[in-house]
Amino acid sequence: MISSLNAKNIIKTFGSGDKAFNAVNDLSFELFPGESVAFLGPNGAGKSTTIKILCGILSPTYGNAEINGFKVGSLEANKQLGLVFGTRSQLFMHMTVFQCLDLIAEIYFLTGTEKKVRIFELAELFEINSLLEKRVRTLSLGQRMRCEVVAALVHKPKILLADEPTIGLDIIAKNSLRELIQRWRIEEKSTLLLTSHDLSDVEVLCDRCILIDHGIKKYDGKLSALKGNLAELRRIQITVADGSIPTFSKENLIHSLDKEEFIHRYEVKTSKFAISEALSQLSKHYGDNLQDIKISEVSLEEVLAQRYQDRS
Amino acid sequence: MKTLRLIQLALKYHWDAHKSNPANLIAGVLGMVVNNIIVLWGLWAMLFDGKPDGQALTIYFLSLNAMITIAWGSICYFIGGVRSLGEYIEEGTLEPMLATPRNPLVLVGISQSITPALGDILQGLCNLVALFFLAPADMVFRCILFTFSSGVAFLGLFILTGSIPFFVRRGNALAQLLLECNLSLSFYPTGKIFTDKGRFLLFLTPAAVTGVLPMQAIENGHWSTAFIAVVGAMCFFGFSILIFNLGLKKYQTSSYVSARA
Amino acid sequence: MTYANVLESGRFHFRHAWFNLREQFSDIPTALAANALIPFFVWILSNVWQRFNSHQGNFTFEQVIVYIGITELLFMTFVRAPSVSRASGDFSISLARPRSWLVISFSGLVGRSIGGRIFMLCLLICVFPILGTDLAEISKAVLRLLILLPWLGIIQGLFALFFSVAQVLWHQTNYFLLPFGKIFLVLGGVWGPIADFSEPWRKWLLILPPSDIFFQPAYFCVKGNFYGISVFEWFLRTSFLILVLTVINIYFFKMAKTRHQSYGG
Repeated sequence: MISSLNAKNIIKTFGSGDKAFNAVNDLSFELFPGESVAFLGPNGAGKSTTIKILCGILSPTYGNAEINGFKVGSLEANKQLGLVFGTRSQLFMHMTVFQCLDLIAEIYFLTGTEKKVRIFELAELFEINSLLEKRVRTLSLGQRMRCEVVAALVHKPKILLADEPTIGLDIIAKNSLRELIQRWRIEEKSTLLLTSHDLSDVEVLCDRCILIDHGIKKYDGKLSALKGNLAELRRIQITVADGSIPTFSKENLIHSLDKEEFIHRYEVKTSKFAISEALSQLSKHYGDNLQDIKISEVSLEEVLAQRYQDRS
Repeated sequence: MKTLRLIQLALKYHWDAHKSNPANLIAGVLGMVVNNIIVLWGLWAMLFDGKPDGQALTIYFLSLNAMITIAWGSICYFIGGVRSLGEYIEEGTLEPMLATPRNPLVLVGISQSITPALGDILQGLCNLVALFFLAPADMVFRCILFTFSSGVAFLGLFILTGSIPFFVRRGNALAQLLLECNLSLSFYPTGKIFTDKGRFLLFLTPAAVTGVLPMQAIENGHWSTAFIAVVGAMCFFGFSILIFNLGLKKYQTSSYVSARA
Repeated sequence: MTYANVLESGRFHFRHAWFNLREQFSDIPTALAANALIPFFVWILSNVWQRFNSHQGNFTFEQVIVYIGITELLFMTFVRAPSVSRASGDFSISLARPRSWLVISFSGLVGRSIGGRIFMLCLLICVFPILGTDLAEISKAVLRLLILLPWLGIIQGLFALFFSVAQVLWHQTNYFLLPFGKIFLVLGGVWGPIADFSEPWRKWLLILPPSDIFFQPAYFCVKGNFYGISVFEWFLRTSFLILVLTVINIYFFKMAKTRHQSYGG
């Protein structure tokens, strides 16, 4: 199968002499058609530099990358690529949404009825029909981001690069945008490469994750596997009526994490001790004092925070 | 053809946006027309009125003014984004334009259309009409012809100065300064002022191709001057494209991004 | 308003003007870059005058260099868009403050104008000798200008204030800043002395207010007297201009405040 995106041994050096440093250090990865990949890393990891190399905005010092077999930065490669930048608009503020989309379609060599059909198709999919005749500067941020995504997809790219697409959006707008992108992915079976500091975006939209740090790939695999051993941990939070009741402990099986006046927290490794058994034991210990139980997994935020902390 | 179609479409939509706010459109155009008429009258009254060769100087000045305002105004109206090239480089707005299958300069150009520039074009056209009554027809014809040459040279100037931020940190301020200097050297009747050393220095600046040489060709009608003016404008434009491409390569291969970061 | 209040207010606004004056010297490289064109304009306009008007006999070439330097200095700080936008920008929030926006903006504009002019004067003092003017001519002109600067600063401040108020009322007025400035540039004799204009233009230009703000002060700096009028007459004319501008500003400010509070920004 031809990969959608193939990055081979990319190195990007900034500066010269003593001040030279590698923002991207021998990075290689491949994306296949239909995949949805999160590109993660702490600030300064080299994500933006990598994205810019893949778009053809920057050229690598060493190595190369291809989009559907075409060298990045070439005319053909750019035709296959759709871009969404959360922090930078590609729309023309003084024009209407339809005019922007029409012009952007023209930039990507779409013409005539093909253009209009495509615009209306995407407008239907992303629910922006009512916005087409409005001027971009009058739109809310959530509306504008939907239009930005449509603008990035108007030329039917094989791969969509989305850099922080939900930044600044409220929770409803975020959920709506995620849902629409997911719908688009299913309908057009295209590839998505997403960078986002909002991990809920990542958890909803992506099944694979590439983690980079200091320009080096640290992880490339399923998102669920990123948690590693932490995936089997469960956190149990118990609210008690009587704050004086002591915490429960079962050696190596149930660990008490911390305690506030009326809240006790525990950690259980489900590979060693079944959660149902743990709940049963805790229930017996607290009896009538047990007011509420909350069970949660280790979040992706925590996993990444731990990885980022380890680097420093 | 595809590029022309893109520019045409962009112009159509820019005009639609201008039209949607008529108060702004009228204020912008009127403001520029008033500005240009005042300047025209002021310079004429100060420098040419009442002078022995006043009539000839008036014709010279009207031609110069028509040429410069139409050339400058046309670039600013039809592909006004090139004026902001330096700003786009400094602020990173150029970056997404590098990721499309189009020439980034075309995308820069179509990104903006400057409303008051219509006032420049209108005023320049009025000057041409006035010239029809004051000057010989062949001179008016040459004025129209060399407006194109001056326009190409001004486009080159915008691209050349706009490329400065590729090479100089925070170079946009310097770019604007050089643009203003050249506009003044083109706009004032410098072709009539400087002799010898001053004239030689003038020919080392872009004002030679934007104003001085075209005006000389308009005034004397010699084929050799016309040829030098046109070839000079085209060479200058070609040079500016070369510098832009060099700067872009530098931007893509290294340090600018790190300097900004 | 009690006497103590007036005194306190006066002290505050003087300090505010002084702060704005000093601000012009806070970033020398940027200020130098912003004013780098002035020597260029002085040079080119002097040569334009030399080619077309030197035979009139009103000025020597060295005097015209100083004249144009001073008119450029006065013009380049006259109703500048950044100052006007800055003043009109905080109109809304000023309505929630215990100070009058009108007076604060005015004191700020005056301070900035005088500060900017002093900065440019320092630059020109270095440039004039390079362009061919002798030190005696320069020092006399500079001292005379320093006497006039505060009075001219008040006039400039009132003009800029009018545009700030106008921008609050009608956003489109920013398109008219450029032509308004050009009117004063042309009618005020910034490019060259009005004395060199032919009649009837000279007569008409001398009647109009722009000549009192640019031509007459620059002429005074170079020659030591005003052109065709006495010192008292010039003060009377400019005082009348100040009075008219003050009334206009108060009137339009009240209109802007009422409209803003009724309909929002």
